Amino acid sequence: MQLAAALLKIDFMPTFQRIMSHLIFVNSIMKKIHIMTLAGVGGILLAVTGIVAMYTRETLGLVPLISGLAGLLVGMITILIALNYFHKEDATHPVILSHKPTLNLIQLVMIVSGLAAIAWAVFLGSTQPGFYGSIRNGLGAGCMVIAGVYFIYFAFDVARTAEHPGFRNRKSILFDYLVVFAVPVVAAGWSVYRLYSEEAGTVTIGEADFTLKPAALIGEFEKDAEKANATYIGKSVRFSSSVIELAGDSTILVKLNSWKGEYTVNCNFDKAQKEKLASVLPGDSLEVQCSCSGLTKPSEEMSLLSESSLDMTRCNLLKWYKNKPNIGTDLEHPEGRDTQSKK
Amino acid sequence: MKSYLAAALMLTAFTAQGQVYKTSTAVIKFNSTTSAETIDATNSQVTAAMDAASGAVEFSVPINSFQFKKALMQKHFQENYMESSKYPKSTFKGTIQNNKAVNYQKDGTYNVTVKGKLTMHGVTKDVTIPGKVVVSGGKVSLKADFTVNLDDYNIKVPANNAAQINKNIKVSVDCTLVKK
Repeated sequence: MQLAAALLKIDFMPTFQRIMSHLIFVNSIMKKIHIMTLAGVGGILLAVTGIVAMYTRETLGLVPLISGLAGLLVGMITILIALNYFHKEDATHPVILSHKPTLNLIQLVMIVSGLAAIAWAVFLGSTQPGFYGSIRNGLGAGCMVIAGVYFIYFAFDVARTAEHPGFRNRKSILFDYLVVFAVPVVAAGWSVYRLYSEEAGTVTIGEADFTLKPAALIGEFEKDAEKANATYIGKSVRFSSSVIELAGDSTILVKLNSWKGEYTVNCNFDKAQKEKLASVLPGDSLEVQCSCSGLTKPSEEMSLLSESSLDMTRCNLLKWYKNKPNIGTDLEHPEGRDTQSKK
Repeated sequence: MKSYLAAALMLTAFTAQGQVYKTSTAVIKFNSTTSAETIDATNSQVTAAMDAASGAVEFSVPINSFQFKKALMQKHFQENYMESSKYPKSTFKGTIQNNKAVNYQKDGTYNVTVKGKLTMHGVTKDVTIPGKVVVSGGKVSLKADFTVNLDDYNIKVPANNAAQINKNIKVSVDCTLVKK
């Protein structure tokens, strides 16, 4: 560490010292506010943002990236401090390290754990394409980094505060770090747990990504299949149409009119929706929300599969119009029976 | 004479057309087992067709319709491994090699070998798959179990998931087709 500090001192000292001296100046004004406590508050805010975003299903690509980078930056700065980079000792600036903190085995373990947490966040980002594109992933990684930072700094701070008993007692600092440290760790742990244990839904719920008629959707695929695949595959689409037939046993296949040439709309419902669909008959109309699986068209290569269809999966029955076959055309339709209400 | 010939041709055409069996609810399952994790997925929206006269078999599998237990694995499968927005379907087109050994008019179970082209993730490979044709009550069921190697189809598994995913995936096909 001394060698690393010495090398860094030669290369970066003037710029970094200037930056840190400004931060230390701020700290001297707000004497009771640790710079690391500020970082901890930032971590809590990031974690809360992530929790809210997870429930609202927002997809803010820039936020997780910034959270991860902010965590890395905080971690890097703290490691530099922990490497005894600045060689300043001042009883009124507890952020500054003493010259030679004495580390015991537990503190060394904490430093290694902290470095491992930061390394893990970097490893995930570099090995999983689009990792930081997910708000959960980014915040989980950001919280791991912040937790790693605290492990490292906590290890050094305990050693230092023992040398400056007049400023703050050890117990209050321990409590301070425990509070600001525990929240990001809990948030990170919960975020990772949710990420890995959440079950895949069999029904498309929430607000639809697109609301458009089957004919229009088929038109998009016919116009530019590559673009339509990128836009609609896996996305939720809400639409209404009339029933041609029902089939299937392990799952329920409902064929709807596309009102476009030879195409039908094949809507696949999970068997859990059997009761909702029990009274549906050909000639009725349904309002559904499904995940789009793409278009099937007969081709020269696949001549036996002669049916043209728009394939939908994980369908959710929203409304049922009994004996109203024109729904989904340009004709206006009256209120249908909400499938959630009692019949 | 001409009328007899015309009638014979019409009868042949009718018979040939009547030997095509289809379904839009065929089921394909796959399984990946490692010491770290077992992953199963099911797709019940597979379109399949078979011509009993020639033994031609075709499958079209919408990738987005595979259902997993865990949301994260389903998301990784769709977006990262299979890239469903680029390659929304997998297809198989083949022929039952010993089709003449199958009597579609008589209930029974017949062991068959299907040879054809499997297209997955934009890559087409020749495959030979052992399977069974089960004739029962006018319906024909096709069953097969085979293994697919992910590397053969350029399906990349990230290094940090390598312990959880077996590159040799077990695939199981089960479909009941009805005459159309």
